[in-house]
Formats: sequence, C-alpha cells, structure tokens
Amino acid sequence: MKRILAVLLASLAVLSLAACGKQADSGKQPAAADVVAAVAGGLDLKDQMVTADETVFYSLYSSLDKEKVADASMYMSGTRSTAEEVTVIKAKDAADVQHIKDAIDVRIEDQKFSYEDYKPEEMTKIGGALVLTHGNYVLLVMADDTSSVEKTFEAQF
Amino acid sequence: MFEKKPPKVIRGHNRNMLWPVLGLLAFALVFSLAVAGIWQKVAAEPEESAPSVAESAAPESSEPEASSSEPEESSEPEAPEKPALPDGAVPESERVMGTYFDDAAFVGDSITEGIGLYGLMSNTTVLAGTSVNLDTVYTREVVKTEEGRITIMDALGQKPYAKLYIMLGGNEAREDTATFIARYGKLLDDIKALQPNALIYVQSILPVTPDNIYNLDNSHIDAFNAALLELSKEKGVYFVNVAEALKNDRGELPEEASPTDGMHFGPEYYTKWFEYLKTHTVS
Repeated sequence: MKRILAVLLASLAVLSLAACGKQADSGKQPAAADVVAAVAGGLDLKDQMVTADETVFYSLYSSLDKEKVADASMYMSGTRSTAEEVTVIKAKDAADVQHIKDAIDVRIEDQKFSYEDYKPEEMTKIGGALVLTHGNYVLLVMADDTSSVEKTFEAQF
Repeated sequence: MFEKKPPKVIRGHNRNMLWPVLGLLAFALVFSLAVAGIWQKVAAEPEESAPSVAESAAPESSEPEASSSEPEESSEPEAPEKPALPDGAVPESERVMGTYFDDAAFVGDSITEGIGLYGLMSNTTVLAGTSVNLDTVYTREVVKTEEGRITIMDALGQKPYAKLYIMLGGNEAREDTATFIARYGKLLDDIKALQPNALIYVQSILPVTPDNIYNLDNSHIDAFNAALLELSKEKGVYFVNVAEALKNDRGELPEEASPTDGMHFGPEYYTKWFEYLKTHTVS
C-alpha cells in the first residue's frame, strides 16, 4: 500500500511538473488593437489621438504589403500637431516580420520629413522611436516617455 | 549439526518491487509527457480571431444616392460652362452628399492633411503636407505616388479634378497683405493653367485660439481673408468662407478645439468644416 501510494505521488509530481513546463509560453495571440490600447494606456499622450481606418493606415504605411499583414492597429495624432503614435502590426508569417520592420522604418523616415522643418521639437519622439517585436508582432511607439512600453508590451503575451 | 541460521529475511519481495516501481515511474513520466504534449498542441490550435486591420467606427460618408444634381459634370475635355461667381463668398446652398467630393482635390498644409484621417471624405484626394505654404507648394515633395514623392503642383499637373479646394496662408498670415495677395494670385494663375476645367474654391484661412503658439492674430487673419475674397473675384474663382464654421462669437477658434497648439484641431471640428463645405457649393 505504502509503495503504491509512493508510486502515485511520484506520478503526480512528474505530471504536474510537465504541465507547468508547458505553461510558460501561453501561446496568446492578442488582437493588435488590444495591444495598442494596453501600450497607449501606459503612456502620457498629449495629443487628440485617433485610430486610423484601414485606408488611412495603408496610405501612411505605403510600403507595407497588405498580403503579409494578419492584423494591424494604428493609434495616431488626430491633429497633426504631434508625432505621437502607437502602432502594432502582426505578420502572417514569421518570415514577413522583417518586411514589417522595414515598412516601419519608412514610416519613421516619413515622419522625420514631415516634422523636421514643421515642428522640430517632435524630432525627439521620432528619433527616439521604439520598435519591439514578439513573435509575429511588431510594435512602434513614438512618444515622449517610452520607459513603460516594453513591460506593457510583453505582458500582452 | 544444525547451526542456527539467522532467519532468512526474505528481501526478495523488496528486490522484486524495485522494478515495478521503476516501471511505474517510467510509465508516469511517459504518460505525463504525452498529456503535456497534447495539451500544448490543443492550446496552440485556436488561432487568432479573424484578422482585421483596425477600422474606424465612422463608416464612409457616401450615402446611397449618386452624385448630386450638378447641371454640368466638369470632367469633359471641353471647357464646360462654370456657375456664375456669387457677389461675395459662396452663399448657403442645398446640402450635397459626401460623394460630391469624390472628384475633388484638397490642396493645403498640415491642417488639410488631417482631412484624410477621419474617413469623412474617404474618396476625395488630399494634396497636402506639413510646411506647405505659397512657396513650398511648388517645391516640397509631400505627395506620395507609386513612383515616389512629388510636389503638389506636379500632382495637379497629373490628372484633372472637377473641383479644387485650396487652403493656404495659415503659416503666412503675418506678413503684409499686399505681398501675400501677390503671391497667392500667382499661385491661382498657375493652378488655373494646370486645371482649366476645375471649379476652384479658395477657402478662407481658419481662425486660431487667442493663445496659439504661433503668434497668429485673428484680426490679421480676417484682414487676409477679406483680401482673399477680393482676389478670388478678380481671378474668377469661388471664395468659400469656411472660417465662419469654426469661429465662436468672439471670432476665435474655441480653446477646447485645440489644446495642443491653438491651431490644429480634432475630428469634431473637421466635421464642422465639412458640414459647411457640403452646404456651400456653387453647383
């Protein structure tokens, strides 16, 4: 009896260890809009922000191939008075993540073009643009203080 | 002799039990790994919910009806007859649908750039950019095309538009009126040459809040607008006084419209602007 009990306990221990091991990667695939909302919520954004609709998004991210995008959400200045932006783009395939990052680089260059003569003070945000990835997700943040971003972003997964 | 042998402790059953225990442990290990393996597979299976790019809540403003009842569609190559110039600014008229602006282009600076953001006029063309003024409209390559960036004037040279709405001067309403008008006049001549068949609307310069960060003054802007009205008559183009849609009764942009810099505003005021445009057309 004692031995059978010991065996059972041992199996239980091994079982729970194996189960715990797999839970570290929860495999969550959040909606891009939810990730944007979470990250933006942790920022002190000054501008009147809007969520860009699909047409506007693809015209602002003109080098982005729609076919490679599984999901995207762009939260940006609605007044053009600042360069504040939080955008999340999810690639359909891990192989496309670089393409997404390249498109984000183009966006940053476009913003530099727009703001360097117009509102040079915005160049700090643009020059300090934060680009992070997690799996197929790529995040772009242009804001004054992006110190909270990495933690919030990672917490979405 | 019989030696008293020590009682044989039968350890056999202990030794015998070792293998079953090991066997059971091994089985438990394999079993739990199998369970964990299946668990992970099942957890990864439900893929992300239907992929969709963030779509704004505002639907396209295009109503079921087709284009408004215009006496002439000015997309024909022959110069059509244009509606007569009103005596002053374009008066209030029957409201048109958002589709009226499908064949229009909006020329301007950062304020005009905002038109594209709200899906209010999703089919209209916006030829605008930051730092666009009466000089840089010729030189600043703000318009993105498949071939790369081009200037607004180059873009106007590429295809005909039925209507053109111009809003410039916001960045320049500080210099003396005569110089401003001379430069604006030259621009209108050049635009008319590029777009001979378009109905051209000059929009008044929009008001600012009293403490805007650009040191702009509403009375000075009003003086410029009065001069623009005269210029428009002279050049045979339509002057549409959009500024009055955004002014409070002190003739200023309300503070709450532009908390950031006293000039740029958000969706609510773009709606007011476009409501005015829809109710002040010439055709």
